[in-house]
Amino acid sequence: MSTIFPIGPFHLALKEAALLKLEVEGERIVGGDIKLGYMHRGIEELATKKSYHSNIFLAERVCGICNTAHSTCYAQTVEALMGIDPPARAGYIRTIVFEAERLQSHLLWFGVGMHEIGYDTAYMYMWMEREHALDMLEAICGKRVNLGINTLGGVRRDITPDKMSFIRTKLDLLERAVRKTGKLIGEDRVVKARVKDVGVLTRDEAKRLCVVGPTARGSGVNIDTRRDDPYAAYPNVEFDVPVEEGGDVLSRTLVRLRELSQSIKIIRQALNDMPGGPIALEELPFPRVGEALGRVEAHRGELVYYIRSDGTNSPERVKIRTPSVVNNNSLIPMMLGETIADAPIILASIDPCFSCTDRVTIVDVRKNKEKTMTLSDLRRGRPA
Amino acid sequence: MTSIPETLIGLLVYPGFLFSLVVGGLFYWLYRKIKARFQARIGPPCYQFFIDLMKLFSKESITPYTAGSTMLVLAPILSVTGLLLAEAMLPIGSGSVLEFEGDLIVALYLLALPGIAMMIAGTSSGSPYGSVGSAREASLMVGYELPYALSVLTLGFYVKSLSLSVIVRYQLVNGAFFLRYPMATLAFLLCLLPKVGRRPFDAPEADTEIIGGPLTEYSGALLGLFEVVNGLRWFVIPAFAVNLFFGGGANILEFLLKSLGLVLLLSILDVIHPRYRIDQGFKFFLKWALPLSLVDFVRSLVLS
Repeated sequence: MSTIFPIGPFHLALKEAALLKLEVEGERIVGGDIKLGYMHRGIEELATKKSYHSNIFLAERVCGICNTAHSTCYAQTVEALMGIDPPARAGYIRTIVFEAERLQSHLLWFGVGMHEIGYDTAYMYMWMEREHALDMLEAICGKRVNLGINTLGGVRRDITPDKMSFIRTKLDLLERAVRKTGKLIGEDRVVKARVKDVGVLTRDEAKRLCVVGPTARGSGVNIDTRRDDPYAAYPNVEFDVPVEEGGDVLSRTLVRLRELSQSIKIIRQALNDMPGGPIALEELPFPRVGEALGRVEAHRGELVYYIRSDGTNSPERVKIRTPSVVNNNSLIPMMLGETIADAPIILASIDPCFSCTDRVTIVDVRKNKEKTMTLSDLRRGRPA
Repeated sequence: MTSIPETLIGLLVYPGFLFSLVVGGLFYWLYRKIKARFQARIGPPCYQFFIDLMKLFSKESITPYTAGSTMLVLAPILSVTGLLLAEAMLPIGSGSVLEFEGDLIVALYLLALPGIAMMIAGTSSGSPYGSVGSAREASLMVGYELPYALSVLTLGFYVKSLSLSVIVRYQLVNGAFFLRYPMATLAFLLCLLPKVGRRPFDAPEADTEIIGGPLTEYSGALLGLFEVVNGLRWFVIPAFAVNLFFGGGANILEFLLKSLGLVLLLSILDVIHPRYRIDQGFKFFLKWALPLSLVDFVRSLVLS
C-alpha cells in the first residue's frame, strides 16, 4: 500500500514553488511525479515585445542567482547575430563576474544543502562566507545580486586597479572558506552519513536523462561548456573540470567544492592577464535577419539561448533552455528507493531553479488532461 | 502530610507549573540565544518565549476536517499533564510536592508521555507529515527509552529504593552518581537530546523534511499548549537528570545552576550537529547508548 506524500507547492525544503508528489510505503519512496508551473512569468513572450537592449535586463531576471549567466549568454547570442566581437578586456571582465557569481551561487547552495540535512550552524557560516563573494560583486558591479554588468558589445563598468586589490583580498578569504568547507564535508561523520550513497544517478542514467552541469559531472560525465565551447576569456585561462564518479549526493557536493577553487583560480588568472583597451564597443550594427544559438556554462549547467531575428529592433523569438529544465527530470530516478528524509537533500543536490523552468501548461484536474497554452490563448486571456 | 491548598500551590505555582514554565522558558531562550550567537546571528530577546505563548493563545485553533478532533485536543493536554506531574515529584532544593515509594517508576512513565502525546497528535491530525512524524517518534522512542530507563534503574538497584528523594539524599551524603556510574550518565545524557527534541535526534520534527511533523496541523491555543510543553521540558528533563546523576541541589540556587550547565551542554550539542536520518538515529542508540547503560546496569546488579 503506497500513499502520496506531497512536497510542495510550498514547503520548507523548497525555495520556490513546485510540487513533488512522492509515492511512499512507510518512509520509502517507490514512485513520484514532479509538477511545475507555479512560477511561470511569461518571459519568453515578453522578450519578443522588448528591444534587444532592454532584453539584457529581462534576461537577468530569469533567475536571481545566475543572472549574469543569463545576461552573458543573451548578450553573446545577440552579438553573434550582429556579427561583432566585444573587446578583449570586456571578455575578461565578463569572465571575472561570471566566476565570482559562481562562487556566491555555490556557497549559497552549500548553505541550502546543509540546511536540508538539518545542519543550521554550517548553513549560517556558509552564507556568512558568501558575503565575501557578494562584496566582490558589489565592488565590480555596484550591486550585489542583479548585477547589470553586461551590455551588447561589452560591459558597462571597468575594473580599476584598486578594485583589483580588493578582489584579491576577498579571494584569499574565500579560499580559506573553501578549505574549511572541504574539511567539514570530509571529516564530519554525521554529514557523511547523510550524503554518501544517497540519491545515486549512474553514468548511463545521467547520459540517458541528458543532465548537465555539476549533476552530470558528479555522475562521471565529463562536460563543461567553458572548456568544450569556450567564450569570453575562457580560451585564455587554465582550469580543470572536476569530475566525480560516484553519482551520489556526496559526489555532486565534491564537484561543486572543487569548482569553487577552480573559480578562484580563474579569477586570479583573469585579473593578472587582463589586457587594456576599451570595455565596450562604441557603435553597434543592427542584427541581421536570421537566427543564433548561444550557450554558456551556468552554475547549474549548460544554459542555451536561441534567438531569431526578423531585422526589427526586437527579437522574433527568444527560447531559453535553462539547466534546471533537464536536471529536474533526474529527480524522481534519484529518489526511488530512498527515504523521505533523503528527499530534500536529493532535491537540493541538483540545485533546482523552478522559476527559470516553468512553461505554461494548463492541467484540468477533473478530466486529467493537459494542454499547453498557445500565444492566441494567452492573448485572449483564457484557455480555449 | 501537607494540606490541600499547599499541595495546589506546590503543583501550580512553586515549584510547579508557573515556576517551571518561567525557568523553562528562560532556559529555552538561552538555548536559542546560544544557538544564534554560535551561528553569528543576534537571537531573540529573553521574553520571546512568553510573548510567543501570548500570541498563540490569543489565536484561533483550526481543526482540519480530516483530523480526529478529540485526540487532537487531548494530545497536548496529556503532554502538559505528564510533564507537570513528573515535575511535582522532583525534589527541587528542599523536597518534592508528591513523594512516595516508587515515584521513580511513575516519573519515568510520566516523562514518556510527551513522546506518546506527539505520536497521538501526529496520527490524529490526518496529515501525511503528521503520520510520518509520529512513526519517526515511535521508532526513536523504542531506541532511547530502553537505555534511558536502564540507566535510571541502575541507581534504583544501587540504593535499593525506587524513591527519587532517597536517591537524592544518598548523593548529598556520598557524592553524585555520575562519578560512580559514568557510562550510565553518558547514556542518560544522550537520551536527553531526543527527549527535548534537539539535534541530531530531531527527525520527528525535521522542518525541511516533514514541515513540523506531528505539529503541522496545529494552530492557536493547541499549538500554544505544545509550546508550553516545549518550555516545561527544557526545565523538567534537565532537572530530572540533575536529581538522578548530578547530586540534586542542597538549595534552589545550586539546583538551578546545575540544570543550567546541562542546558548549556544540550544547546552546544544541538548547535554542532546536523540531523541524523531516523534509521541512523535509531541505530545510534542501539549501538552506543544501550551498551553503555547495560554495562553500568550489570555493574550495579553485581555490586548490590
